[in-house]
Amino acid sequence: MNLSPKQKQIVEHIDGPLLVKAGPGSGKTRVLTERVKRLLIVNKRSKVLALTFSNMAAEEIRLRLETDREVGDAIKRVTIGTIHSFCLEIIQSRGYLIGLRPDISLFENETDRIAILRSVISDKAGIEMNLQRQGDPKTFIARCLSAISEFKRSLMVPESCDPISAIYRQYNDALFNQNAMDFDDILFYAYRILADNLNVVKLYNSVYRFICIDESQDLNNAQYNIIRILCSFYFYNIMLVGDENQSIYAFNGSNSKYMSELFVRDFKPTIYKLEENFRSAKQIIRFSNSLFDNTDDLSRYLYEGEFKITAYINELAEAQAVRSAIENLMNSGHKDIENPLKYDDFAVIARNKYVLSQVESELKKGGIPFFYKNTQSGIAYETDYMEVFDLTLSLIKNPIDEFHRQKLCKLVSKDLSKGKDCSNVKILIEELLSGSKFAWLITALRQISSGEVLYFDRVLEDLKKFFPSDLSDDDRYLLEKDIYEWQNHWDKFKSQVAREHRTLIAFRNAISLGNTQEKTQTGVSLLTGHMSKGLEFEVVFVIGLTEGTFPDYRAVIKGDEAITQEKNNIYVAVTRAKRLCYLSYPQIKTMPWGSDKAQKPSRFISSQAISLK
Amino acid sequence: MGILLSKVRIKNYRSIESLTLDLGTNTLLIGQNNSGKTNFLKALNLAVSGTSEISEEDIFVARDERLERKKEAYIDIQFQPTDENGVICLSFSKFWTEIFTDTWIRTIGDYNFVGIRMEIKFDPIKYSYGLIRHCILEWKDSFEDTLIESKSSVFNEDMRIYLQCFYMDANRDIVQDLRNRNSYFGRLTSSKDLSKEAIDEIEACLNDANTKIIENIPSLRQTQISISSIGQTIGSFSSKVEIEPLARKISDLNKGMDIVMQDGDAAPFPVSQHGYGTRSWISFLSMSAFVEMKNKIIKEDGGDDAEQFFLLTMEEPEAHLHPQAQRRLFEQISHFKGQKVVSTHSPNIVAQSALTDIIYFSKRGGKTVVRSFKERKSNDDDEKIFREVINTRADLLFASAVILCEGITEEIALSIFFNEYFGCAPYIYGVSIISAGGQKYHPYLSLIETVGLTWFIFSDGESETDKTVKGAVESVFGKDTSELLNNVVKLENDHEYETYLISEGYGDDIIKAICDYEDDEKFLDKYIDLKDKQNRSNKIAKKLNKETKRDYKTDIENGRVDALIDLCLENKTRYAKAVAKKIVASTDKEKRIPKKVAALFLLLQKVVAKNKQISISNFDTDD
Repeated sequence: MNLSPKQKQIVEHIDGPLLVKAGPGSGKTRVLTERVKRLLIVNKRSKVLALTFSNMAAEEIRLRLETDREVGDAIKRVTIGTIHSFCLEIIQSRGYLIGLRPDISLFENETDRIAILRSVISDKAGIEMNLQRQGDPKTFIARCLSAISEFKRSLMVPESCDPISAIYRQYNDALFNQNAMDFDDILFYAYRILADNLNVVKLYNSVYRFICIDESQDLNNAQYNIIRILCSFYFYNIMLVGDENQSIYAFNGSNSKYMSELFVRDFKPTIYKLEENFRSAKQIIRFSNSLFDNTDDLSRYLYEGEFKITAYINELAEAQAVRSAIENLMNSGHKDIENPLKYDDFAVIARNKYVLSQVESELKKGGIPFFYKNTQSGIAYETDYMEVFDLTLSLIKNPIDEFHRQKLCKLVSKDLSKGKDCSNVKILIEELLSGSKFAWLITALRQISSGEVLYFDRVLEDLKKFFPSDLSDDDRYLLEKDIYEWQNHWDKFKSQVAREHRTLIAFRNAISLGNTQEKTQTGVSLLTGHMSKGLEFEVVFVIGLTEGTFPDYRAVIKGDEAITQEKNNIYVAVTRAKRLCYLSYPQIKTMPWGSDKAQKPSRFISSQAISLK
Repeated sequence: MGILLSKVRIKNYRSIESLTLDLGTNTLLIGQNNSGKTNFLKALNLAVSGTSEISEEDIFVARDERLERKKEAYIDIQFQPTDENGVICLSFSKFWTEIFTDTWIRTIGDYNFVGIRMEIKFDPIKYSYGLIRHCILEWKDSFEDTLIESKSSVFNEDMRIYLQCFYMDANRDIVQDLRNRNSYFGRLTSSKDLSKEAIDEIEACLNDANTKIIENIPSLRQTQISISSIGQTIGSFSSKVEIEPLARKISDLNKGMDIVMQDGDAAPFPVSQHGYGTRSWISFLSMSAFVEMKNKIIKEDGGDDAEQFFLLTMEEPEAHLHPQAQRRLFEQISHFKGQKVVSTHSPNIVAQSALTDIIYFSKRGGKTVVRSFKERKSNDDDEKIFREVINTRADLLFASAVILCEGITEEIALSIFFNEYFGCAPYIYGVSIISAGGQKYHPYLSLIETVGLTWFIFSDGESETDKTVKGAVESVFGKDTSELLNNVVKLENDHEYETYLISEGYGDDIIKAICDYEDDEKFLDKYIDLKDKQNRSNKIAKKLNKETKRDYKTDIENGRVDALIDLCLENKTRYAKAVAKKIVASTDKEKRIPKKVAALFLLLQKVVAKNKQISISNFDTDD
């Protein structure tokens, strides 16, 4: 398929910065890929940096380039990944410049962060904080963590962060002393490495002559500043692609102003707009346009499609309607859909996962396969066996990881001080695990050494071999599932990384960053708006569109910016649909405490025609 | 703007347990055979090109050590950017930045470098030794402190193309190169740069010539016909056999190619008929031509900035060459664009090199030890003398022990006495006897200290000389030199060599020797008559602490002695050999070697005895 004239214009743009405002379904992945390809071919030596939002997007672009004959060996000159993985690489290869060790651990779990902060507040001297005075400790800690995240995103060091500068600093120290960091540190440290070492920046400038950033509406302060610093010394060929109307991560510090205001101010880019939606049918586009008062000529859209908003009496009715719609479409198809439908072609999107619970039970009743989209990163296990296993891995790759050592001691019911300052990690682990119900893990763990090539297949073999025989059926099922999870991550990792680079740290970090997520899940997708980003389905149901849910009641209270985020959220949800899009809401909702409450339709749909059922 | 391989560090590779060196554009390696020079060159080649057969023999083992599988060898090298003059600068040029990329380029403060560690270790999966490269993140002074990236890295395609290393050994021979399509000559001459039309035209000519040759030489034609009957034997009727006097295709031309040289008026001869000197030289030149051609291509292809890094490691360029030819060849080597590390046994070549480029290899206790001349403590005057030493007595650098003495007289005499005492010439034991005298003690000792040679001084008894010697020793070796001063054998009582001999009772021998030499048994008497009442030179008068005016006749006996002394001092070197030979020919065995000289040799004997047991290696010294 050829590029449209507008797309071609962008790909053939000569040197200089550019900003591409690309709406949903406008083919921006295609444009991005083509542009990267052109940059690789036109310039024989320079490297290209392509940063995306998600691992999936990165993989897709990489796959397209790998299979393109014209690219060939030039693929070695392009670095594709998320901003986080790029920053992690900077930390691993140049962290020593600011005193970080290359084997630094990533504490990705929110629970871990909470626990560290808690210990900092109660243990560390010099913090005259009376936890009681701050109200509910849990919320206080959550607020602190959120504030710390924000400070890190704003690239602020503890000293300038009153009133919690002491807590922030102690929290950082606690991490640093154990050779660890949290997610926000990935950006902050990378920035510091670059800011403190102009020589490194010069080097990156002269090596990476072209930068392309996807989903730029989701850039936060730290990310934008990192990009800016990477462009310090030379006139740049930098391209930002994004859609302000799809900015839905404000709660995370993202802001579309970086793309539409600051980037424009700082780089004076040529601005292109890709507004044609090649994905969705006419009816759907009509609605999505109406959200932003776009008056687009709709005549060029081929497919009529279907767009309906329906009010149901309650959530159960709503859910049942979704189910029957799916069943009917599977049986009879639709005039606007050429290929026979599969369950994978359906998605049900809601503001949050609780809204989906009724739909879930209806689908179960109807025997319709479905799945909840995975969390984006990390590994989830059900059994304490695997939790212990993961903790020992943390210790092997970072022997001074105090936090996880203590956690492990607790789980195996041993004294907290056991193994502190132990010089040989392997001996430590054997001491901790032997005599407990986790002892069978030892043989498998013996195979693993930090820094050496990892042969995880053997580890998994040993896990299966020494699998305890005295488990209940339920426990057995869960443990097998957990091991299967590890196997999946490992298989994915093997396909991405060459044998000699498969170390324990690389493997575990890849899991933390979400590089090893499995995509093969079949059935109807149950998603929140955030999870649906970048995806497309033939048929999309957006349910629970009541004031207070979608938009969320907290946004209603905050107003303005927050409401815009909610609107963007719906926009994203609806524009996932290719041909058929069905919106709905229940007129009555049953509250958790039993009483029924009347619902108003979401303000975003109230001006539209709504049929009643 | 280019790059320089500026630092090397080797651990556990072959005979090199541990070695750290800085390299410049030109480096010269000297040292005895088996001291590890070739191993060093091999290490460099391995680190840059990474292609070699590796086995457990490449790992260093100490004498009583058994090799364990987990023992590893390492070679660290560092590339730094240079400006147009070859001086190290801060950042890599745009070209080199794009070749190395951020994968390999690191920073120390303001300056950039590329550090590569090559590991030789046993790979249990492949069940053999293999090579792994790592990027060096921080280059520290010690091997252990140096930070390397834990994951292994490979050279990218560009690095493999633009970083080249060539090992030219002592057996280079253009005649062998001619037969080898992969030699530099072979590669130079097999490039097909002709247009299709040109190729067709030439091949048609060749075909023509071939046909004509066969037609016109009956024996060839007949042979071709008989051989063609092979078709019947192998049952194939369509096969055709032809004899090809000339190559038929352009691409095969280099098969029979030869180089023909015409030397002045002589007839032209193929190079295989010329001597090895010529052949090895031409081999070097063909490599040089290849590198030049490649450089040209690279510049055309990649722009002005583009260039190739070429490391030439070469052994014994002097092989088979006359000393003058050696010098000329070395000049050509110096003009060669690239980094050079050359090992040599030739004083002529050493004489042309800058002192700071020389690295001295020796073996101590089975391990290679190196010394560099880069951090010598010296001053400008010393530099002049160094130059002189290298130009005239470069054999000093190839010695194992040195005896410094006052002048040529002593040099000649001591050699003869050495032969008498030890039964062979000094050079057999690697002993160099060199006249330093006066101002030169300091620079010689400084040079000797850098190289690490054992040294002795045979000095005369003058108090001035004494002070000079002590001063020089202290200045070079530091304040605490009482032990070292034991290596100084000094004549007593203000004696010179000649006056000392006379005082030891060799007067008659001296007179006899001189008269024999001058073929006149009355020579001394004639001298006395001639020179009596005349003036001596002020210099000699001062030395002897006598009047300027000679007086031989007032006191006949002492006057005769005076005359003898004057005669000797005025003709110092003339009679040295004759006198010494006369002395060692004494019928009285005890008198064959003057006592002080014997004392010197006794001192030397301890060292020589050790050396005699080990036939080829260097002295073991106590530093």
